[in-house]
Amino acid sequence: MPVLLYLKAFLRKRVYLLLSLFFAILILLITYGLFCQMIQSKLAERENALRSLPVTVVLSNIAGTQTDHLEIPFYLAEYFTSGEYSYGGEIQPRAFSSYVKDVKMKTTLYYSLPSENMNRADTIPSSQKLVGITCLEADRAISQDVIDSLAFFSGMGESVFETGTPACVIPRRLLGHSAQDEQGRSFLTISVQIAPASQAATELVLQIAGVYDADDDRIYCPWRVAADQQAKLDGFYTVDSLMATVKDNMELSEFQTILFRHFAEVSPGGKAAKLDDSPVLDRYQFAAIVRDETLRQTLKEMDDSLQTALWIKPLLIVLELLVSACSGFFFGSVQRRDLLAARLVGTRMREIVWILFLQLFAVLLLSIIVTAYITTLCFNVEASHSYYVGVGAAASFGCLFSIRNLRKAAEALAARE
Amino acid sequence: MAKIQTIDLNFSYRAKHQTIHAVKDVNLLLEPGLMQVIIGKSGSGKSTLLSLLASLQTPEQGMILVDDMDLQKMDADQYRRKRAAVIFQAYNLFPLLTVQENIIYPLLLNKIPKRTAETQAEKVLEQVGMDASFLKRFPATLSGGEQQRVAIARALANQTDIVLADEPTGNLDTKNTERITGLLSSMAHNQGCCVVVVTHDLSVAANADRVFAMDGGTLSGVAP
Ligand SMILES: Nc1ncnc2c1ncn2[C@@H]1O[C@H](COP(=O)(O)OP(=O)(O)OP(=O)(O)O)[C@@H](O)[C@H]1O
Ligand SMILES: [Mg+2]
Repeated sequence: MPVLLYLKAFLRKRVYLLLSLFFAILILLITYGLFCQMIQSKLAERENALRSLPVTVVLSNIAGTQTDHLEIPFYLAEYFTSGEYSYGGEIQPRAFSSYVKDVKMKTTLYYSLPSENMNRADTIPSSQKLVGITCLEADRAISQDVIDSLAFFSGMGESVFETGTPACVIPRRLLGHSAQDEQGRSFLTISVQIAPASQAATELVLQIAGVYDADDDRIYCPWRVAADQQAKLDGFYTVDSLMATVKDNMELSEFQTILFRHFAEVSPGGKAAKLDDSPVLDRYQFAAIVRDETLRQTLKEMDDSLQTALWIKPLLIVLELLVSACSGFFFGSVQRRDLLAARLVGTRMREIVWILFLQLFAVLLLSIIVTAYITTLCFNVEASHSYYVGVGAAASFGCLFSIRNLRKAAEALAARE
Repeated sequence: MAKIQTIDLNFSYRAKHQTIHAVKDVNLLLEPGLMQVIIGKSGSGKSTLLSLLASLQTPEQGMILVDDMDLQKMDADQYRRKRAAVIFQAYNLFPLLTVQENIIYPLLLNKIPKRTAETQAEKVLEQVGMDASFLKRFPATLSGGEQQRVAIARALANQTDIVLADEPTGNLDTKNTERITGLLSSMAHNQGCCVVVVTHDLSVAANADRVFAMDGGTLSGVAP
């Protein structure tokens, strides 16, 4: 009852003290909340970068100096495309290909226009390249002129390269060699060879999907079609160049261990990481270059700034605990006079402690609720409960410390008068 | 009707480098119904003795008997709440509480209903010569003499049988000093309280029923 009397009086007369303590704690908690938010957004940014920055894998020759005209045998290419993956004679639970997406491949064959058309093919020399690609980017030798002048017929598009449709993109000059069916679709019949001088040839009818106007004789067809033709002529297909994007950068290191089971490791600069170790390289025919410099660079910068932030965090906590303890001390000492008077009339020590803590508790609770509300609703972060408890404990500690010597103070007061 | 007796009372302040023996072998008997004054030079240990009597400090040696009961074995808070009112030169009142609240505070501590306590407050305030208009005022708005009278009123309201006052007239003028002294001696004579007043002021001593003199921590004389 006297405790309540005093509390009421305190609330009545010390509004500003209570408010300033309330705001001090509020500001502390919010600063911390904002800081946590900053760290969280940095972490999210990092995570985002990790997920979104593309990391590509490019196959190269064993020295890492060449990435085209490689003649990669089908069984190596199929690691990237096949849904099954066996290693050491055992089918692995997870396919090699499941680590990658956007596999870009190129296979080159040669074509000539069939002999019945020869008389009209005066401008086209025999044995030009038939390039099978999974997308335009798969052939890095493709000229910008070709890409710029490329016009697809209606209903056709670049996506045709991803399929196995017998279709092609040809130089406009070759249109004269095409034939049309009843639906008005144009077709080109070509004779396909493995090599320019090769005797073995197979006839292939391709629907014309588009034309380009550049000074080039190449015919581009879906990679699947070219690979099939090569397999038909030669027994198996090979791939000139292969690159793929890592599906999930989180799995990059896991993928790398699998990748380097089959390909030598070459740094993005083209230096074979283990070239001195030639016996090891004996079992590799090709190397793989993991292009993750951008990712590494970005992550390094982010980690550096995150590191400083993480270093500041405990500092901030210590500072805030200190400030909390100080405000608790101030809070307690402001009331020293009252508490002394309380002791003079025989208030029990535990009642005095109660008086202090009821006030402190009310202020703390209120500011913690308000902070939790503000931080979660406005800034979308939650400071941990342990932090709130810490701030509360520090303030209480300060308060307790200020009344620790209350008995002594009462004695000193008695002796001073 | 309380009687206080000290037996070979000793107390020292222990600082880091020195020990001050503030109260040395003090034996005295303080009786109910008497206004008893302790005088002595500054630093002679008067305040220390009073704080021992108020159980604000614990004796180092010897003991204090209150109605033949060892004070050290009693609950110090309860002793001040129910038996001994302590009045200092200043800082007696809660700055945050009104005069009325200050007076009823110890009554509430003693579980007296608020209504009863409030009527009591008005009555005792009148006894010390202050009207009801003072009830709602805060200590900071009162003069020193008025503050001391409120402190005495609080002791009156709480009906303690011991009143321990340390320089209660310390910075008051003659008129107020007389008034406070009068109030204190009337508490001894009319209420039968055991009143102990520490003072420098010889005019206070002149109104005493008994005077104790202290010197260098020891009791150097008693009169009569
Ligand atoms: N809190 C304390 N710590 C250490 N020494 C103290 C303390 N209080 C008092 N003393 C010392 O104890 C001795 C007695 O002091 P006390 O206050 O009892 O004297 P006093 O008679 O009341 O003096 P005054 O008339 O000036 O009030 C003095 O020497 C004083 O310096
Ligand atoms: Mg003194």
